[in-house]
Amino acid sequence: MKLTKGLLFLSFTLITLVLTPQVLAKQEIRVKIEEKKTERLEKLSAIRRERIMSYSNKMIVRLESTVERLEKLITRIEKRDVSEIKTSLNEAKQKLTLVKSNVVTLKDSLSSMTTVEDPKAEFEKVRETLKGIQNDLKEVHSKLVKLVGDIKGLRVGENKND
Amino acid sequence: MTNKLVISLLAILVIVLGFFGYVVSSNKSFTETKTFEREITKVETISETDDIDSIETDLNATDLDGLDQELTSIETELK
Repeated sequence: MKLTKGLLFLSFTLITLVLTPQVLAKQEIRVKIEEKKTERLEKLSAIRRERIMSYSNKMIVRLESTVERLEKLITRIEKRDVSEIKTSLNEAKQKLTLVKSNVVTLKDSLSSMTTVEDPKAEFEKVRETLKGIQNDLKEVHSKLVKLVGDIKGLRVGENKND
Repeated sequence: MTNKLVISLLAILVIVLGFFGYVVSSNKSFTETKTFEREITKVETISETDDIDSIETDLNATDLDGLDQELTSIETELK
């Protein structure tokens, strides 16, 4: 009887000795994960968030003003008789419409960057979208330069007032 | 007596340096805002005429290079 009790006690002790460190290790990992999560969320302090928002707003204003400028240039070109270059002009207009929609996407990414769990991943999205916008704007600009060159060189779009 | 004088002088020095730092940082922010406003005004300034030469002039004056200048600042804040 004593031997059975002794064996039971020994088994229990052994099981406890084997399992306790594992349980503790798991708890420790869980705590560390929680700590890292909190750390990540706190990483973007209020001041930093404010600065990021300020830079983001500036970036959006800069882009919107540039889009508006190119729109005005297109409108001015359209005022002339541009039947011969209508297709190219429409292409430029469509590209600019696409840019405007991408600026809205960029605005969303910029504002969510300060609230998401992984701001750096969101920043990469911002970088990619902005790169696309820049390339599209350059394309629109080049098209307009070429169109103006065509108007001047081929003497199309001669205005009645000229 | 001398100790008190040294502590007072150090306190005044800290206050003066703090004030100086505040003025410099405010001034930097003010200058940045002014520069930004100037740049935006330049982008927004455009002729209304449909004269082809003036369209060309405005087109040539359209600067597309600095559109991503805030990106580096945002990246720095995220580090």
